[in-house]
Amino acid sequence: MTTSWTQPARELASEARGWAGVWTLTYATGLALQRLAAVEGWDDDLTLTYAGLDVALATSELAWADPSEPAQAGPVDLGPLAPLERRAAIGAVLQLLGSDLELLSALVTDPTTSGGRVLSGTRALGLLIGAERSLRASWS
Amino acid sequence: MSVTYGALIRRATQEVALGSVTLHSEPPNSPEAGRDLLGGYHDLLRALARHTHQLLAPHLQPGSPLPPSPDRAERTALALADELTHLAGRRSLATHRSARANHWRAAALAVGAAGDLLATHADRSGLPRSPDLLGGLASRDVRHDALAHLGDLTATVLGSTDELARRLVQAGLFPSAVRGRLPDSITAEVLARESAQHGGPGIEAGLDELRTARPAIDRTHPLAELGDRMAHLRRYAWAGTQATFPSVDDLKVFAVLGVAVHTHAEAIARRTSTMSGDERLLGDVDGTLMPRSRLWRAVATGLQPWQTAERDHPAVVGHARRVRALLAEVAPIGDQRIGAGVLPARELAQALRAAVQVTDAISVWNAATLDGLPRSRVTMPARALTGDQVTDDPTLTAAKLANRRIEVPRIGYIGLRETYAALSGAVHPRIGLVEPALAAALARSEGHQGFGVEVMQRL
Repeated sequence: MTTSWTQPARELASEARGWAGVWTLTYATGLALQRLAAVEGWDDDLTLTYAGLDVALATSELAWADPSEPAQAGPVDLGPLAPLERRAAIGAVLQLLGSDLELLSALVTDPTTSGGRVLSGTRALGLLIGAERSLRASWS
Repeated sequence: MSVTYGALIRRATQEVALGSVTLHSEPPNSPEAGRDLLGGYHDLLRALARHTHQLLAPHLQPGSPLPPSPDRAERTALALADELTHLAGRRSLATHRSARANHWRAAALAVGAAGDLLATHADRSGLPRSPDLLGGLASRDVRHDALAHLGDLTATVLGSTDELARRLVQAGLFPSAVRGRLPDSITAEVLARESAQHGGPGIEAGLDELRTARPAIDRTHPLAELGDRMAHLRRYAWAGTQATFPSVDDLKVFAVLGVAVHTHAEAIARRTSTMSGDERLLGDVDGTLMPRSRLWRAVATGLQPWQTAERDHPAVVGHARRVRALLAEVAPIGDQRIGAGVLPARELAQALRAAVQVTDAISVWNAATLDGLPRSRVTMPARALTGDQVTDDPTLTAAKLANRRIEVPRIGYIGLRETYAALSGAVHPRIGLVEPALAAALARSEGHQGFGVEVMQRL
């Protein structure tokens, strides 16, 4: 199942590199979740709202480690969303989150990453894992 | 080649990161593996506590004729060490140490070795065995840097507690046993954050005040716990108005809390609409609960693109997270029971009514905090501004076209300020009445599919 977000999400994920890539994927995921949560009747169980908050807090953790990153990375959103695409749209967000988690996991376990970044990245990772788990439960 | 203190702490840091990654990718798959993982986690908390005491041990601080009195950063670290000792509990003699890799235990070993390394530099009478001691730990700045890193490390470990609890239950441990071995860590999280950023802008609350979080919460009954945690959140919302550098993340957490409280209250109110008297929640579902729920959601959506350098307050996040779980327990949204199956309707109605009232008070203080946010330098993508907002400002227009991140302009605050005013029942500055503002806000937000900021700014 595809949506108007599927291709932009795929492109974002394939272009993401390093910490700037993680920040872009995380920020885009947070915006996408809030947009989904704002659609009437799509978030009756509050999953999207809660996941959106976790992703927002993860974004701040990443920015805390390097305040210059948000300034360098352009803000990204996935474009307009047609109605009646809830499941497919969440699928696109999960695709973004999956790429984000993979990239971030590699960075925090890289021996060349500085200690401060490892710790803030690990805290962000925990928040993103929580968001991914609840979204996947709501999606399946 | 001899191992250095820095290398050992570095190894501990890497093991903590691996612990979090592994918890997600290879969670424990049996009760035995779960108990082993929990044992490693507690070993690490104990090691961090012990290391803090080692860094501040008087005999490792030569040069002072009297034992030095700890300053604020050191008192925070000592309070954190006490809290970690409480969280770790007594060491279990029955802990089974499997051959399976336990990264948290490996981190504990590295932290312990770092403490042993420090101890080799002084004898028990406090006389230095090496010149490095005088040049290192005798300096308060050096000790503070070491304590700050320990605080950062501790905050990261504590951040895994919820996920660990979930994985342990999935591995087959009893939920009640997991809750008993992983008690509420909010106080430790607050102290760890304070310790980690002692050199930068700190959390603006007194240490004595911070330590009241643990004993003041009645966890014997979910409704009592709900009330206690809401009272804490109310106090933190007020504290936000006094902060020199407020955090937009705290406002995001409070907004989601507002959505949660009103959504759960609405679900219960609909179910109890045929009851009478005190058992009935508020009665006015469509006129009060639902509109305010939507307004809180509009606030959350409007704040989402904003960022400040100030992070969230760990206590705000921790209490709000627990309130969400309690609401799901006592007032489930999709369940036809009144709540947890056994709660008296009257008590539940009272508790939810009180929670709603607390969010009303929070909205007033959040509005005041919003006015102080510019001191924290709030940024947002210029793209999130509407055409109307940038049309009279060539600089903003250029930033929007170039897709730049900018400091939130004054015009960006207007919509949020008016939504907070509608939430708190204040008179609308333009219309002069509350309800028309509320109705207009909702009418425009319904069916809106674009940037949440646009919803806010059209109000």
